[in-house]
Amino acid sequence: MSVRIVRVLTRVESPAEVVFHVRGEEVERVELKPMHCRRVEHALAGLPAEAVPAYVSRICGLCPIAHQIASSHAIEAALGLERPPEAALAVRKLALLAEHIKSHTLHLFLHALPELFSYAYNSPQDVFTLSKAEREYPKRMGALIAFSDRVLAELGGRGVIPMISAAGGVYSRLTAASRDKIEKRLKQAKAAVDWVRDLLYSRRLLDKAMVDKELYDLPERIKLVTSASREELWGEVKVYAAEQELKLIPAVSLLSEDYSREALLTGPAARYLARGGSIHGVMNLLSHIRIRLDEVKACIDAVEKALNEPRLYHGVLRERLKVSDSQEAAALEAPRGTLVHYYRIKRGAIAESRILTPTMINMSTMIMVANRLVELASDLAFPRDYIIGKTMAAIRLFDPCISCLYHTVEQL
Amino acid sequence: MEYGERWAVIQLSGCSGCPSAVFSSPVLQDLVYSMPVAYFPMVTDSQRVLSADIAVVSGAVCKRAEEELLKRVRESCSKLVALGTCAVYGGVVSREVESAKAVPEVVEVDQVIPGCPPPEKLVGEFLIAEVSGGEFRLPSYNVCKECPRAPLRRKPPIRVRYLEPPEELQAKACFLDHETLCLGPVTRGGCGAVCIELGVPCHGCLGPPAKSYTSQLANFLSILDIQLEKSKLMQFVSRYIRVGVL
Ligand code: SF4
Ligand code: SF4
Ligand code: SF4
Repeated sequence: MSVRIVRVLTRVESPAEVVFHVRGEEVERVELKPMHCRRVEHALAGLPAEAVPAYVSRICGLCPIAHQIASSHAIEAALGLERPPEAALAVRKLALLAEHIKSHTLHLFLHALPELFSYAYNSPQDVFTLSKAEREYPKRMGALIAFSDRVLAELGGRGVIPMISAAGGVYSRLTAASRDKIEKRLKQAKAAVDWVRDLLYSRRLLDKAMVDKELYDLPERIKLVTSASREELWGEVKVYAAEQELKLIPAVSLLSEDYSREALLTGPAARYLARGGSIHGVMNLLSHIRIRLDEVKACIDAVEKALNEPRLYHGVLRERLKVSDSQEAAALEAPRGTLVHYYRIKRGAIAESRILTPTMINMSTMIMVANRLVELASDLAFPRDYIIGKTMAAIRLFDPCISCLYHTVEQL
Repeated sequence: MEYGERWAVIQLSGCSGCPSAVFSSPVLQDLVYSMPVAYFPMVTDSQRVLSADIAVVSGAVCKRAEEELLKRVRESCSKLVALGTCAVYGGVVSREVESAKAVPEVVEVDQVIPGCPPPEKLVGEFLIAEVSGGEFRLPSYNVCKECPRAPLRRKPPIRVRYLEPPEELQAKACFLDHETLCLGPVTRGGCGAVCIELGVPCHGCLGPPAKSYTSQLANFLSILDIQLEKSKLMQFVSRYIRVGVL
């Protein structure tokens, strides 16, 4: 008889339940069940269009800027603003780069590196155990967060859910004094990236995890999803307005019965492929750690370069939008992948909305990876608890942003 | 140095902004790493809340399982803190899920720290008070006290025609002097008037400085001559707190 073992999916950005269907020592199947619920689209109905970017920032406290900018772009396009002011575009780009750094830093230090250290130390690790065992650990994580938070706070008043993008533009520009404060933290941020790189290669953390490499393989047939599918994009915010695009990407539910059979891939690995990276480089979740770290480095360099852009310091910040009835969608690269916001506006208020988050796109593949993992590990007669632990590790390594998934989970 | 009190950090329905705030400031991080953690599923493998000295709860209660978890937390932890406006008042989640409850509607709480997100300064002061055995108090003044704009000059009834400041607004004048609604007078201070610094009127995310939002709001609205559609006004004043809830 098959029994259900329910575990809390821990070390992710909002807990969920993982249900393992077990027969004896063999794990037959895995499901993910929501523990919380939100109905963001329901609450947006009737809200004035200009209030949307601030509201949707509260979908995810880890990637609020991506939601702010995607919604701003969609609303601007719907209300006839073809191109926001240059200063606004420059500020948004800088803020999104900072958010990529912060989100990847939290993923690396809170979720992925502890997973690798658990191989090196041969025991489960987390940010608290590592902050004691590896004295540099909290310091290096702190340096990267301090850098990204400084950029966000200089532009939007605070590091957590800053107020940066509005429909029609942005709230503030960079000043010479802000630039100095950001630059002061640059050196330590770069040093932190080098320190992590050293962990991965000189201390061979990645090699040590390779004993389980097979468990972390992606399905053979994957389809890329990036907002650059039609235009070159790397770290840039580009808009493509196409309501029908939404239908190309199946919205998946948390319940495994409903997940799509197609393995979709979005996020750092998909962007790496879109930039011409090798397919072999993305087919295993352990290699995504390296890709993420490279993105952090690229984003820090891009921030350093962007600080020289005159557009950041001068010019109009925001255009007034005209009230009209229309609908548009916009997509951009959020840290965890392609994010799409769609709005239908009637008399200046939201009549209908739909938000497709990276984790919704990744979820079908995550469930596939988890089910493939339990099948393989059961065939290899791995102990049941080991299989359960590694399944949770695979989900964490893939995309821990369960908050973005919850934005539209009805009460069950 | 390790402090003696064991901490539990619990997430209910919300956006993860509140718990992630503890990793957002180097000062907070230093404190956080020095505290023994009993339960913090966002970053540790803890499966069950055992006993803890202090439980910090963020998010609103939407599901029966969340309500049961919260009750278990209350039973097993000596002190319970509601962190963030979702936990304290229902926040944005209560706009989305009609049956959503704030934490104090389900269990007794020892401390609330509102804000969406809660201001780093308040979270820091609370943590320092906890580890040093000091006392933490929320500010009892309103946002106007921290506001960089000039104090309100008009006398009631104050005409209000806008929810977004008009373009010709003078940089340093009170929003209400420009016929723009601002909830600063009925909102607890502590955030440093961060929105107003950016040119955005206060939406009241920290909630009222004293108990009843609804009655304070009613008094405030009664001195205004509001020339706005009622639905737009209600959308504005109930962005973070369901009017009538308190
Ligand atoms: S109070 Fe605000 S920051 Fe905190 S969980 Fe709720 S929406 Fe997120
Ligand atoms: S009403 Fe608003 S703008 Fe005016 S003083 Fe108070 S907080 Fe400042
Ligand atoms: S100004 Fe008002 S809305 Fe803004 S953070 Fe402060 S209390 Fe919240």
